[in-house]
Amino acid sequence: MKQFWEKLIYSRYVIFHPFDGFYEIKFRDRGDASIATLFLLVNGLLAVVATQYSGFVVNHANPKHMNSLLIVFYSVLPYLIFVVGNYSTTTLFEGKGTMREIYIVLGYALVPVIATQVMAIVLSQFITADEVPIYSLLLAAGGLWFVFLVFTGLNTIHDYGFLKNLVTLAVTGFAIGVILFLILLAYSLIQELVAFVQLFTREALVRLEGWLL
Amino acid sequence: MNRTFLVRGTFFCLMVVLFLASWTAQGADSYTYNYWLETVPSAPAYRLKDEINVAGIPGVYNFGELADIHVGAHRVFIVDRIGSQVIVTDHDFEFITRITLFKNEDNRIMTEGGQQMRLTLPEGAFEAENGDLYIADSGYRDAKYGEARIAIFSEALDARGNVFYYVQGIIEKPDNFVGRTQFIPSKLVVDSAYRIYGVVPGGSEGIVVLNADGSFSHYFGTNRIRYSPIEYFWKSLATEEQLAQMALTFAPPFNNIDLDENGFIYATNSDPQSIDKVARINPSGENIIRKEGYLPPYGDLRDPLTDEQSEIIAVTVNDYGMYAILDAGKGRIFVYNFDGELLFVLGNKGRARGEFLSPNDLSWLGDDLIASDKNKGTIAVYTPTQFGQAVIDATKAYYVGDWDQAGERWLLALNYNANYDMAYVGYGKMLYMQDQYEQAMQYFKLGNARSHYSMAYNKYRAEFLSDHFAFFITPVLLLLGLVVYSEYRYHKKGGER
Repeated sequence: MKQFWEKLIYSRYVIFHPFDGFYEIKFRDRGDASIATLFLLVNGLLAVVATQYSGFVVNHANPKHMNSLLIVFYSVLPYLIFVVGNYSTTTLFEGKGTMREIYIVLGYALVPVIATQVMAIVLSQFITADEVPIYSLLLAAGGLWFVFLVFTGLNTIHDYGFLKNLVTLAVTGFAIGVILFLILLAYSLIQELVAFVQLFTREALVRLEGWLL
Repeated sequence: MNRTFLVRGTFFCLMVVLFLASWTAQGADSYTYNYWLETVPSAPAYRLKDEINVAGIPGVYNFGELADIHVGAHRVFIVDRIGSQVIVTDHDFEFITRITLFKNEDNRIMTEGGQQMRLTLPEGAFEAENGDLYIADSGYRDAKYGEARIAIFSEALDARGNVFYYVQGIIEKPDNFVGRTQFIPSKLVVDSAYRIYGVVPGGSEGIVVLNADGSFSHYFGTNRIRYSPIEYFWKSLATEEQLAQMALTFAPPFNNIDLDENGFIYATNSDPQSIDKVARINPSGENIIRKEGYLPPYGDLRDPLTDEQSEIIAVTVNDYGMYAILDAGKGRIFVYNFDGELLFVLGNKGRARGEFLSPNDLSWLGDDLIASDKNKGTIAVYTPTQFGQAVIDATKAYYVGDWDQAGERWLLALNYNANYDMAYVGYGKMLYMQDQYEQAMQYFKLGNARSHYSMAYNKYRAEFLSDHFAFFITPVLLLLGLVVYSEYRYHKKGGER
């Protein structure tokens, strides 16, 4: 438990010194996947909080169609797909990082996003429409920081140069497209299968009824 | 015995009340759009007051087909295209006279080349400020150009005290007319300087403007169209020769026109390519319609997949900037306020009383809305319900700047329809003007008006800060004091801690 706490505190060092921090995590075991998971889930929960409790001026969500489980799902899923996509790409490009390490990089990179999101939710309670740019700037700063952390983190764990990292990221984008396509395909296939089974059972029941009565 | 009678009597009365309630609840399927562009049920704002069968009005004969209705100061002009006549009634639709033959001031029929002069398939009528009636004699073909004319009539009394209309002037195609548009106006309006604005079917150059003396002035107010990106791409690639062979894209022609109290032209079009279905055109020909509503004033929400949209074919505007447009496709009337916010939707297609088969024109008649139906040959008169009247009164009061009155009316409207965002906002505006910012915020929030909410919040926050100034300034002062004190101590020790 003490070790977990220490590792959690270490994330503060990582977001300010990403090259050093991610190196330490990779080779000296200063970070943990469970902590990354924690950040990922907190980020998902914050998305729910943001839709429900952001200030009225910036909150355009329709409360009628609010579904917190779906919001968590949609905020966590992209990161997981990215992890899979990036791993499947970098194995082909001689990346040294494992899937676990990519996952950790992504999770730790979310810390500034979480921090700015919390600040933004609080700030949004007290702003007028004229001050919305400040709010947007805050969120954008968090986003940029996240991108920077992911980029440097992947650089470190895969032992890549700048250009190679860019190339693998582009290919990762392509891989994500393929994954999404396959998911969609599988989804529609399953849907049709379910529909077929439903139809079949209904038909069978009707006929059975016909015979029995 | 007595008791059963009482119970049965009550029951019977209840049934009668229920029946009446369901009978009067016509148009109960009314709706509006909310902030998220979902349709929300609305209390009906208008109910059918009467449906007038024009052929059945005592005095009318030889009735053909409704083309246009125009409400003047004391008259209603019903243009009968096939019957080649204009039926004149008063505001209660009591027949006064019919205009078909051209008469001079002495009530004699005018002739031209030995033939009686008469209206030929007229399509539009408009009463100018001085009471003169301008009729677009669209079916007439002159000898020189083979195009139509506009006839100007004035009202007079004959020897027996009956009203008749004599021809005061005839405007044929002006000799200085330019462009490829044919001079066949179908709908027209006349402004306070007696300039004539005529809409020509298929006229892509805009509205034809004639001077008071009948000479051609200019074209006015062309429509903007939506570009499809693909089309734009191919046209940007094409050479000059290829472009010359491609079909030209014309500006969509207007199909109907009205004039507001400030002399601005309201014109509609139903082209699926056009951006604005209803335009408010200023004297320099620009569209200055306001679009403050959840949707621009183009009727129903466009279906993004099928691109199905409302087919707007008529517009009418009253003295308070409220305008109504008519969707021929679904038989609906959309009423907007000056800002372009949707107030009401009424009407639908069908054969029942008050429903539309092929609506083609509408007009304000006081607060009532009247709409003509070509195939049914009827004019439906819709009158505001209590809810509708509250909204109309509020809109009028707001338009003339009577905030308190408007707020009260909006609150009344809220009693009838709690789904009505505009009423929350309207009441909020009153509270805001009365410096009750906290309540105003609450109502703006209910009405989903973020910019107004933000305005009220700004005031509220400033008030809150100045009220609790001490609370906010104390920590700042303390901090400042601490800094000063530490500096003081630091320097007193000669730079050593």
